[in-house]
Amino acid sequence: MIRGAVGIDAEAMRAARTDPDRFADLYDRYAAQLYHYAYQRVGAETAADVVADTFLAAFAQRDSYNPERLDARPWLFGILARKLARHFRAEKTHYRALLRTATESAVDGHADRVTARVTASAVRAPLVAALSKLSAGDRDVLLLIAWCDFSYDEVAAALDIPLGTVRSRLNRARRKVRAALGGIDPTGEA
Amino acid sequence: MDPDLRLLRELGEQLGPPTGQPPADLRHRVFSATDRALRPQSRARSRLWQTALVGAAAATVVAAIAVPMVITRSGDDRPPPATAEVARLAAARAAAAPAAAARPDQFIYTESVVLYLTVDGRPAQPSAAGGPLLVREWRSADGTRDGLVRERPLDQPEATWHDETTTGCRDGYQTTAVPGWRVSCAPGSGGSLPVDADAMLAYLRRSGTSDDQAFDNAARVLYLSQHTPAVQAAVFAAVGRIPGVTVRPNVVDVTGRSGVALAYRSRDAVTELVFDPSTFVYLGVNRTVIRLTLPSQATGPAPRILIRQAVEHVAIVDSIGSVQ
Repeated sequence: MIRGAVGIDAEAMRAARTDPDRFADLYDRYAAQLYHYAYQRVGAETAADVVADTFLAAFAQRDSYNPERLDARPWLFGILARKLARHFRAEKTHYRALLRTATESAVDGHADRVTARVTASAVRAPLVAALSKLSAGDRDVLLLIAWCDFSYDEVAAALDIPLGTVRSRLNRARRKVRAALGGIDPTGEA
Repeated sequence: MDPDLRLLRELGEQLGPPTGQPPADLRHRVFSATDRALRPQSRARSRLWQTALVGAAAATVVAAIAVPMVITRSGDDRPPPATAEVARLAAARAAAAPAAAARPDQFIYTESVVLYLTVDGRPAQPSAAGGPLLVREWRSADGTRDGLVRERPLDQPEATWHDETTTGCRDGYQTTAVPGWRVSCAPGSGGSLPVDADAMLAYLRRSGTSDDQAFDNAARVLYLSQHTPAVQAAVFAAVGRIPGVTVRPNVVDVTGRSGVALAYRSRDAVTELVFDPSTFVYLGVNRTVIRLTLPSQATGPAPRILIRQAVEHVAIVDSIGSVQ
């Protein structure tokens, strides 16, 4: 789906008011993206629930959809972000599991330690640890940009926050991530 | 792209679902619910509902046709008989080995031959110099004391040892292989690990992401539990149940010994647990890292890193430097 083809989302949502079946167009266009992001955030077990809840909430709000919102993607991701917030425990558990695995490979046997230095493990664990410590608002901004290619404007629309807040949250989140990576030589040559 | 955002993006790629699509039943789940939401409005059977019915009917037909395939696929998801048999023989062999208990103040001494090599000729580690290394490692039995790793080229007995201290647990934290990064201390190795196959499989899978990690965890646990045969036996029995594990005949370990391997290919690596083909004694691990996410290599073809390790000798010793 080319995101530039804006307008068809607004048209689908307008049509869905009188013909609910048109809502399926929106599902087919965005379900994979939403599921991918939810899976990254909370893992397989919870992702499907969150995405289902997101579409049900979107369907319930179809009558109040602002037709000037030509692209529904930020709106849907905004709903998803609010649903994910309810699953913050699942997200924390997800990060803890990832961190545990990465941690073990970085402290245990000699070959594992060498592998950890030269592979993704060298940066994965500190990154996961940093993500888990970010505030929910900062994490939403950072990951919509890093994982979903959102523009600042899209993030502002999705999270319903001013553009300046997007910038300040992103700067704060990136500062913390860079601090977590401090001292790590990501080239593995240290 | 800035390095921090690139690293985050790469982490995101690792954490994404194995396939690009949501579960097949999600769509039906969503639209069944939306349809139920419309019923109070006495809505006539909608096109959507009709579509769902047609879809359901089609699914029934497909399911009827697919039943034999599903059964076959279910069989395919289980490791083939040869995998289960090699795992069983390896477990039996490991279980017959004598156990050695370590006091908390002792060290686990492990002597191994290790090879790190990249296919582009660049050594994965500056001291590796491309050839096999003799590695001697002393790990604190209870994790509280500093350990030591010494290594030198295998074929240069006169070469100076390269030493690396592995710090023990202090104030609840220990250092890691990643410079500048400390983590909470893990409980002592070996003693607290599961000794039956079910519990071990659950332990290996506890990261919850996929069996990719479970098999790599198995190789790690095997290295750490050389002195506890019951744990080793549990690992072999457990990996024999992991879907996707295959048997590879005619593999060679780092010391040149021929063997048979239980192998698994994950998204990031191919890992082989190598056994003697007649006695099924565990010889060591061969791993080929096939996907790196280092920013310096993200734009070019990633090298494949070969890591091969064969454990030669294990002992419980009283102090660092002792070898038996």
